[in-house]
Amino acid sequence: MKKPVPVQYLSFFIGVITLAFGSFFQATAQDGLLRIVVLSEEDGSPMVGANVLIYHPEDENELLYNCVTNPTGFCEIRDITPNTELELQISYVGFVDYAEQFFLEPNERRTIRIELTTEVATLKDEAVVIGGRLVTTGRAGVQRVSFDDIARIPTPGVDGDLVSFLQTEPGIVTTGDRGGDLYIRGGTPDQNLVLVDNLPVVKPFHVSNLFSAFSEEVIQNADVYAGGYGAEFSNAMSAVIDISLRPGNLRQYAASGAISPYLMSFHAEGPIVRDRQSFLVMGRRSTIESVAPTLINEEVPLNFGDFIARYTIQLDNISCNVTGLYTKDSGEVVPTRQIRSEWNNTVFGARCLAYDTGLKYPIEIWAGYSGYNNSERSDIEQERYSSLDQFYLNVGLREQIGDVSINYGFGVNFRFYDVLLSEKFAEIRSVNRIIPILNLYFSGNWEVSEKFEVQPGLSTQVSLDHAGGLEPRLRMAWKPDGTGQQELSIAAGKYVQMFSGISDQRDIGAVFTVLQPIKLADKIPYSYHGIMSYEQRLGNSIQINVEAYAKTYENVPVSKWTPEARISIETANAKGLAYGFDGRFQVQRGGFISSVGYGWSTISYEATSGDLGAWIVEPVFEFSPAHDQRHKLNAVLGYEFFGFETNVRWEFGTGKPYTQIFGYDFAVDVPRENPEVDPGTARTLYSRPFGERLPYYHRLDFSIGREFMVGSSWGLQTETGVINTYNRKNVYNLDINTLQRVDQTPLFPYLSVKLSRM
Amino acid sequence: MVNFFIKHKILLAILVIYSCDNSVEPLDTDTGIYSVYGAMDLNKDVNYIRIRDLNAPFTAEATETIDATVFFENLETGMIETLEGIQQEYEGIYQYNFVLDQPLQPDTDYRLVVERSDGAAVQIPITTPTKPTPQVSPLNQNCFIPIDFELEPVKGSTIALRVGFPREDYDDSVTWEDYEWRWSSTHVLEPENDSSSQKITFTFIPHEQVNDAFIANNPTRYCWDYLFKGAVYISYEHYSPGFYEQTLVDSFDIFGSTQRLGALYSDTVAIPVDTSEVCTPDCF
Repeated sequence: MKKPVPVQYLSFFIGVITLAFGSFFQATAQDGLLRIVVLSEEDGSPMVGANVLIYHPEDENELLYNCVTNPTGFCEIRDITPNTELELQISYVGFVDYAEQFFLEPNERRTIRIELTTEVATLKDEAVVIGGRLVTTGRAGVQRVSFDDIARIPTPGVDGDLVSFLQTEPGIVTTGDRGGDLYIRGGTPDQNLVLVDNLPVVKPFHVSNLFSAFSEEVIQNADVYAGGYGAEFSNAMSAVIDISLRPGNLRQYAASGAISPYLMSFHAEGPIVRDRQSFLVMGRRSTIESVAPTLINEEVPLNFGDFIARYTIQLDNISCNVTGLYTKDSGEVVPTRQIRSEWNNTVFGARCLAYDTGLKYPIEIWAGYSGYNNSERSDIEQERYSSLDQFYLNVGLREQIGDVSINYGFGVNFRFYDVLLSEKFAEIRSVNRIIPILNLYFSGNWEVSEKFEVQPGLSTQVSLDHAGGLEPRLRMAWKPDGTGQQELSIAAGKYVQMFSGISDQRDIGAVFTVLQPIKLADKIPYSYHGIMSYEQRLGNSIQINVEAYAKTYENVPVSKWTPEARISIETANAKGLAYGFDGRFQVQRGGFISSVGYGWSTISYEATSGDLGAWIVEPVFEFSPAHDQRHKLNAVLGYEFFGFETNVRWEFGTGKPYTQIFGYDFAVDVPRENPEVDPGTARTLYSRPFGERLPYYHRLDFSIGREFMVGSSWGLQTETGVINTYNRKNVYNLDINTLQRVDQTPLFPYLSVKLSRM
Repeated sequence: MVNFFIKHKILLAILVIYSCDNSVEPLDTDTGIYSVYGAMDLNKDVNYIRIRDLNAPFTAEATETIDATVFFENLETGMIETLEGIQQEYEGIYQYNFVLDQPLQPDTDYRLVVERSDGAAVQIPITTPTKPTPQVSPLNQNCFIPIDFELEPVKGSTIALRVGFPREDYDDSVTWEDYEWRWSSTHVLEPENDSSSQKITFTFIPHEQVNDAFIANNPTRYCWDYLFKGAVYISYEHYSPGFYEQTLVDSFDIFGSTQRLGALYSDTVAIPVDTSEVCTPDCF
């Protein structure tokens, strides 16, 4: 029997944290320190990813110092030679470059706030901030998503949505156009970590895969780490989606209301104290359930909504955001089954960055609550329920050792699991546990030369039941010509997950997931990632990126293959291997933008057959799960002309595996039951797991829109388009009880309008 | 160059045709054909066999008819009987019991064949069990004396038996079938060595079986307090070879759990016991 984590281990863990935190406040003599906050002149909001550069004043090619702003618009440069005239330059895509000369006194610490003004955009280096360093989008496994990218994807609403964009990415797979589950490079949805301003949200994707809780209206940017992420992220085996919401306008009030056949929305924002405090609220509610029968002559029993509220305060030495998020989803994913799936998220938290000159380094603290529950029920009874409530507190710190800057942090996360599976003809099974998890990480940034950069990291986490061990991480980038035009990068690491999510993997329409802690006697799931990426930019308009990756998954709990169609919390341990490659090509010239992405991937699991159950006679059984999509091709075209903006998206994907039905049976327990009088017990029997593949999938979406001014301060944004333009019948699922085929969204025309006060 | 285009046109055509195939085959029709359930009793003249088309979903439309022809063949005489199906409705779904209206012969090889119109078929061989003769000794001993209960011939197949005790208010006018009994746990007796084994012996002490049957055992009461009729009763079922084992197959074994057909012979034997109070083995 495995023993719980010893007290000595916990003591050591806490000791390291105390030591690190204690040394943090020890101010030491140093050269000049410059802290910069970059804001948008338009609305006073912080600008993430702005390049801050300090040059020798007499030689513009001699870059002395640089940093990149984080989501609060902040970055710092230290050890600046005092009493020297230097030139500060700040640049950001779409904004006029800023330049000024300055010098610092010895030991001076100065904080400055810079406002950038807007200009016409071009395709420049976009930046991803990893551990406070500038990283171009081609870095291994990382994709920065801006609200422009999101807006380019046709969705049946005026505003674009993050999840619609994510589905255009090679390596990101969904099971169809509903369900709200994303599979990223072989990982399952429970192996993804979604953060909203560092606050974890378990499943913010709506039951219609066209929408998530994050519309273009509220997103500042999102970084999608398809693997190989740094040590600052823990407790996720496969991928991280790190979303930054924008703060409310700090200078003027704005509001909007929009309506489309799919949903209606409103938003309002404005200053509470000009340039200091602001609010932002946004709410959306689906309308498709009532509109669809009239519009497409088909029932679409999907209902969802979300609400986001945000309060921002920016003072001279501290910046804080308080964020609340609520999502609610309800729907019959497979309508003929008459089983309603429901889930909701309730998230509330705050994130503060303090950069007072009295602090040796800036300090970031975030804390909050995240609640999630999901259930499946029929009209008769609630059959399945699983919830996870989290309370957490994290601290992020920074140190500088020579040329190496070290980001480190620690946190505690209290996780409350509650599971109740009430199945017909089976006993009620439940899980009810509280698991506290401590985590600690170090992440270094070492610019070895102008061409070569290394980011080593180390993370660890421990709960009362398990010690996760050390999780080493490494990212490296080499720029052969020393510019941002070419880059070869790699990322690798070990990723431990202290909980598991179990769903009925045999059934592609199953969205209910049991979230549960790893049992004391079980092994912890973990994964190794390896990614290699090459990016080439040709001028300012063409960007090419290719990536190859491999991920292993160890001790992944999979539900046992009971032949009968029902979920079981009994699991067997499987190990998985995912590998593949992606290619992206993007060209932007004038009002024309095009991107094409292709991904080839494979994911397979294997487990000891005796652990899995039915049908399996081999000692070790290998299978490709339902998200094993081999080929995915996606093309997006956008063109602006005479004030119109038109976007086209086409997606093609090969079929994913599914499990056939062996048969429909009424089992008679002879000789205890008598066929003459006893009807027997109905049971639907699955055939050999994932023995077949669904047909190919392809879909074309189209939209065209234009904004009109109504008076001096009102804008009317209109968009019309068609989802599934040529009405391809893409299969989503099969109703296993009636054998009825359930197709994805048919041809769906829409007209959306949005009225804004600016 | 022309060859290149011709070659690639063909490839393109194949791609287009292939990518247009939008059909889904939800049912594994090759391996899932029929489920068969039946426990044919050698004591009965009529037996029922439930047969279900595994490819028919749980709807009235799909089950209104069954595409199955059922043959029952005596492999020793070569006589083949085509069984008639009786339709039964259960919660809007139709089920089919096929009727075997001939008594089965013990220790005989039969075969059930269920045939679909496209020729796909399920065949299940059945060997009926013997009707073994019970031998008991000693008789009329006290509750603490072991009793040997022998059945012969059994021809290598399993016997399940229970020791039973009638209730206190035993009434001779009540039939065996209706009567309420206290039963010991089931004893499964598998033939020793191999399938040619002819004899099965069950040795038991009546007092122990009483304790087993009456769960709320009262240490101050002994077997003579319960044996009102002066006898213990052994009810046994003799199964076709492998049939008892088939009833234990869990639902993970799809073939095993969807084709459960066999025969059994059952009987009950009364064994007289001396119910006078005696000194218990531990009273010395």
